[in-house]
Amino acid sequence: MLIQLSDIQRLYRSDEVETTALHDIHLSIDRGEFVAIMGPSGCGKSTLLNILATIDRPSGGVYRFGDRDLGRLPESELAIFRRTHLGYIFQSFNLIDELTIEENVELALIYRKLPRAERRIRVAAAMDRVGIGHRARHYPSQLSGGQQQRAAIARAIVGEPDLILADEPTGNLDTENGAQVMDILQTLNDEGATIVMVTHSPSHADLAKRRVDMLDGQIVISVRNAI
Amino acid sequence: MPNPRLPETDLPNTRLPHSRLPNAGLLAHGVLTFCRMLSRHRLYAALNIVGLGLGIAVFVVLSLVVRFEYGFDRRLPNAALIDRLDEIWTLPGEGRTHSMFSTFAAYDPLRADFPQIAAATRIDDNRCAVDDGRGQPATMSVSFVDPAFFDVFALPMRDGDARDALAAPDRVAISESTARRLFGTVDARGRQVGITNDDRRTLYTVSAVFRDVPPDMTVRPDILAVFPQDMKDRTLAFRHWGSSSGATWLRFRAAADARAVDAGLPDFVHRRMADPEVKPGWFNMTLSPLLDTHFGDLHNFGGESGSDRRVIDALGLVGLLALVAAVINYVNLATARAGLRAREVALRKVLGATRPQLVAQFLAESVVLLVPCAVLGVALAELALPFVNAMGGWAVAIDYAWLLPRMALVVLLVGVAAGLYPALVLSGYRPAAVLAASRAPSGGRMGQRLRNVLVVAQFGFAIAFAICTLVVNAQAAFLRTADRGFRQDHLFLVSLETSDRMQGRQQAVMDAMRAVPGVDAVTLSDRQPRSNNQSNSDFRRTDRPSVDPMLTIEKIGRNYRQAYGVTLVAGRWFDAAHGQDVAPTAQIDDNKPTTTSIVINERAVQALDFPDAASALGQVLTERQARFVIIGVVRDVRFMSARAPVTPQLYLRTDAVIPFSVVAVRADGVAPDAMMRRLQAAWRTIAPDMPFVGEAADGRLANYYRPDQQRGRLFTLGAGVAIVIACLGLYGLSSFSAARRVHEIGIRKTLGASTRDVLGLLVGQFLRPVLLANLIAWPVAWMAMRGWLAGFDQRIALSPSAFVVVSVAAAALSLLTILGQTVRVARAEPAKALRHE
Ligand SMILES: Nc1ncnc2c1ncn2[C@@H]1O[C@H](COP(=O)(O)OP(=O)(O)OP(=O)(O)O)[C@@H](O)[C@H]1O
Ligand SMILES: [Mg+2]
Repeated sequence: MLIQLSDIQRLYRSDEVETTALHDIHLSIDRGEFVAIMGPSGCGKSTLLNILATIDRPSGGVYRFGDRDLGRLPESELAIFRRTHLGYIFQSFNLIDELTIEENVELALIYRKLPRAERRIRVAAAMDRVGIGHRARHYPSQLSGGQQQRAAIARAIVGEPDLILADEPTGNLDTENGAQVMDILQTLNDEGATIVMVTHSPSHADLAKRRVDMLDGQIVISVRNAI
Repeated sequence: MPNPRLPETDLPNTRLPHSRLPNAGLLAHGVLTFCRMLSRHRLYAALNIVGLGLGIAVFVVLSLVVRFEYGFDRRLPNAALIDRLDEIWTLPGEGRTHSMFSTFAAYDPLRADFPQIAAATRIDDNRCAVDDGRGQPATMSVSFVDPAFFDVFALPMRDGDARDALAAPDRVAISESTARRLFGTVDARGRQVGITNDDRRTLYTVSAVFRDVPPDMTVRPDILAVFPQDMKDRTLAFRHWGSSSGATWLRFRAAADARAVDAGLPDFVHRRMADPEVKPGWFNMTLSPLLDTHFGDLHNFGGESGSDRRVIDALGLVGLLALVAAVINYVNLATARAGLRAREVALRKVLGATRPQLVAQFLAESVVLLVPCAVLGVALAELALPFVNAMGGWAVAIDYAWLLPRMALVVLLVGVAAGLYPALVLSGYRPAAVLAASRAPSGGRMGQRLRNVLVVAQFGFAIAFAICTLVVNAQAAFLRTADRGFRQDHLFLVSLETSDRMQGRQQAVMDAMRAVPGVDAVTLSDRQPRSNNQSNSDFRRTDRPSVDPMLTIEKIGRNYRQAYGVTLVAGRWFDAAHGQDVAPTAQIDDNKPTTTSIVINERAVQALDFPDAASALGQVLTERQARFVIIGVVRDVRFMSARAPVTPQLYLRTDAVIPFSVVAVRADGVAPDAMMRRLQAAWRTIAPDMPFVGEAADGRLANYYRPDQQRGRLFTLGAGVAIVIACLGLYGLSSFSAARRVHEIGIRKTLGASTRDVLGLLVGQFLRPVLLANLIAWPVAWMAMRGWLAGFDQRIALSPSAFVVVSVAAAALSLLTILGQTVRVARAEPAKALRHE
C-alpha cells in the first residue's frame, strides 16, 4: 500500500462561512496504480490532490505514505518528500512567468541538487517527450494554453517521481494532444509511477486502472476498470 | 497586516452604459476605488506617506539651514558695498596668515589717502561691567566703534537717530534686548549707563535703541560706544602697525571704488606703514567683502565662528538627496503597486474607459496622496527645527510665504512623476494580454532592474553618509580628548593682559593664587590656550649656520611644567640651581653675548633639522650675539585649533616681569565654579581696582571642537534619516515583491523547495543590491573623508573599522527590514499560496 487516506476532512473557514471541501475521505492507493478521479465542479477534487501533494494540510484524518504518517512530519521533511517523490500537474499550469519554459522545467530538479549537466539532459528529454522542445527558450506568456499545459507536464515528469498528481492534464488540449498526454501518463505508469489524475473526460478515465467518483466532498464510487 | 490581494473591482456590476459615463463621474469612481485600495493596503499607504513625509521634512529643514547660511548679512542695506580691512602676515618660516583683525593705526591715513571710502569704523568688542546707574553691574559685550558706525552698518533703529546716536563721546546706542535687560523696558532713551572698562567707570547716556541684530549677521553689537580717548592712548593697536585688537570696516559708494582701494593697499602700506619692528614684506593689507566673510573667515585668523561652506553645501546636498531618495521610494512603490492594478485597468478598458481618462485618474490619485505627505513633512520639520537649531547654532524658522509655493511645486512634480509611469504603462496595456496572463504584470524585467538600481543608489548614499558620520564623530571625539601636550582639565587662566598697570603686581597675584586652598601650581607665561599672541625670531644653529628657522618664543615663569602638565621627551626641565636656566629679564638683549638655557618643542627639533630629540640636547642656537643652549625637549603643546599646525617654539624661563601674560592655575579636586570664586577673591586682595578676567581652559578650548561636534550630531541625524528612508524603501519594495511572488513560491514549494530554500532565495535577492551598494559607498566615503581629515593637523587615521561597522550594520538592518515579510511569505502553505491571485 503506497497511499492510505483515512477519515480525511478539509474545512475552509472564512468570515463565519464554513465550507466543507472534503468529508471523511477513505482511500487506499497501491504502488503502480493509475487512479482517475471524476466529479462535478467544486466537489473537492483539487483539494484532495492538494492534500495528496502535501501542499495543503487536512483538517482531520490521517495520510500515510508508505509507512510514514505525513501529517506528523515537519514542513522541512515534507519539502524533501515533495522533491523526491512527487510530480504535480496543476489545473492552472502554474508556470513561473519570469522563467523560460526550459527554466520552469528545470526548477523541479534544482531542489534535488543534481549537477547542471544532468539537469540539462533530463530537461531536454522531458520537453521532447511532451513535444515542446522547440519552445524551450520561450516565456509562458508566449505559449498557447495547450503548450503551457504540456510544459507543466514536462515539469512534473522530469524528476521521474513515484507519484504523479495530475489535475485535469488534458483540460486545455485538443483530442489528438490529449491522447498524446494520456499516452505519456500510461507509459510512466507502465514504468512504475503511481498516478492520480482528475479528469472530466470519461474516455480518459477509462484509460486508468481505477476510477473514483466524487460528490460534495465525498467518494461515492470506486471501481476498478477491466483491462 | 492587510491582505495584499488584488482589489476586487466592483465595476462589472455597474449597469451604466460606460461609453457615455461622464468624465467627472469616472474620475470620482476612480478616486473611490483608490480610497478603497488605500484602506485595504493600509501598510502600503502608511509607508508611502511616512517615507515621503520624512524626506520632505529633511529637505525643508536643511534647505532652511542653507538659506539661513547663504543669507548671512544680505539683509543689511548696502551689504555688497561693505568691506573689511584684513591683514596678511607672511612671517619668514611660517605660512601666510590672513587675519580679520587689523591695526587701528591705519584708520586715519587710510581715510586721508582714499577719498573713495564713504564711511569707516573700527570695532573693538570688549567684555565690560555694565550697570544701569544704580544696581549691580553685569558683564556685557560692549563694542567700541568710531562715530560713523551707523553710516557703515545701517542697523534699523527703534528709537533715536542713527546720524547723531554716536556723535558725542558720552553717548551709547543699545539694542532692544540690552535695554530690556538693563532697564526692563525698551524705552531707554535718555537713561544713564555706567560702563567699566580697564578699571575706569564712565557714565553714558542712551542716545538710541536699535533693533536686535538678527543671528544671520556677522556684526552683532549689543552696546555701541565711541572709543574713549584714554583707550586710544593706551591701546597698542592705535599706534603700532604690528598690533591689532579689532576689525576695521569700510563702506564704499560703488563696487569699483572698493576694487580701486584694494588695488592701492600694497602701495599704501609701503608708503604709510611706520613700524620699525615690522620688516618689509612681512605685512600687507587687503579688503574682504562683508558678504564673503561668513564663509570665508573659517580659515582666517580669528574667524573660527565662520561657517564651512563645504559643510553647508553638504547639508544642502543631503537635504536634496533625502528628498530624491524618498521620491524614488514613492515612485518605486507606486509603480510596483500599479502592476497589481493591471487587472482593474484592463477591466475598466473592457468597460469603455479611454486612455486619457485612465491617465487622468492615475495622476489625480498620485497628486492627492501627496498632500498628506507634504503636510506630514512640514509638521515633522516644525518639530525638528528647535533641535536642529540647538545642534547647529542656528535660528532658523519656517517662512510659510517662502515655503508654501515651493511645497506646492514639489507636490505637483512628485505627484506627476509618481503617477506618470503607472498611468502611461498601465493604460497602455492591451486588456486581453493582462486578463489572459496568469498573474499581474510587474512592469517587466526593465522595471525590476530599475528598481534594483534605485535601491543600490539609495543604500550607497546612506552607507557612504553613515561612514562619513562615523568618521566625523570619531574625529570630533578625538579632538575633545586628544592629547594637546598639556592637561586642560582643572586648569584656570587669569589674564593680566588687560592693563599695563598689572605688570608690577604679577608676582603678588601669583603668590596670592598659590595661597588659595586647592591650588597645586601657579605659573605665568605669555602664551596661552586659544590665543595667538606670539613673538618670533630667527635662531641659527651654531654647528650648521645654514639652518636658521623662525621659532616662537614663549616666556614662562616658575612651575610652568607642573601647572600645564607638559611632557618632557628628552633632557631636563629648567632648574633654578643652574645659573643660566633663569633669564634675568624676559627680553634677552641680543646685542650681548649672554648664554641662556632653553627648552624646545618637538616641531622645533624638526625645524632645526636635528635627527631626534636627544641629539638636540646641548646644542647651541644663536640670535645675533645671544646664545641659547638646548637643555630639554617637550612634547608639542597645542594651544590652538587642531586644524592649525603647531609652530616650532622654544621656552625661556624667567622670574622677571612678563608683558602681556596670563597666570595659569592648576587646581585639582575643587569644583571649577568654586575654584573660580576663590581665585576671584584672591585677586581682589591684590588688585581690587582691576576687573578679574578668569576662565577655565577646557571651556575656552571647547570652541575649537564644538563646531565639529555639532556638525557630527547633524550628520548623525542626517545619516539616520537617510538609512531610515532607504530601509523604508527596501521594506516597501520587498513586501511588494514578496507579495507578488507568493504564487511563485507556492509552485516552488510544490516542486520540493523547503522553507529554508525559499528564504535563502528571497533574502539573497533582496540583499544583493544592498551589498552592491557597499562597493559604491566605500570609495566615495573614503575619498570624502580623506579630504576632510587632511584639513586637520591633528587627526585620526582613516581606519577600515568605520567602513566595516557601517556595512555590517546596513546589511543587518536591511535583513531585519525584509525578514518579517520574507519569512511570512516563505512559510505560507503552498495550496493557499497557489490560490493567491
Ligand atoms: N481557499 C478556499 N476557501 C474557501 N473555500 C474553498 C477554498 N478552496 C476551495 N474551496 C471550496 O472547496 C470546494 C472544493 O474546491 P475544489 O477546488 O477542490 O473543487 P474542484 O472539485 O477541483 O472543482 P473544479 O472541477 O471546478 O476544479 C469548493 O466548493 C470551493 O469553493
Ligand atoms: Mg479543480
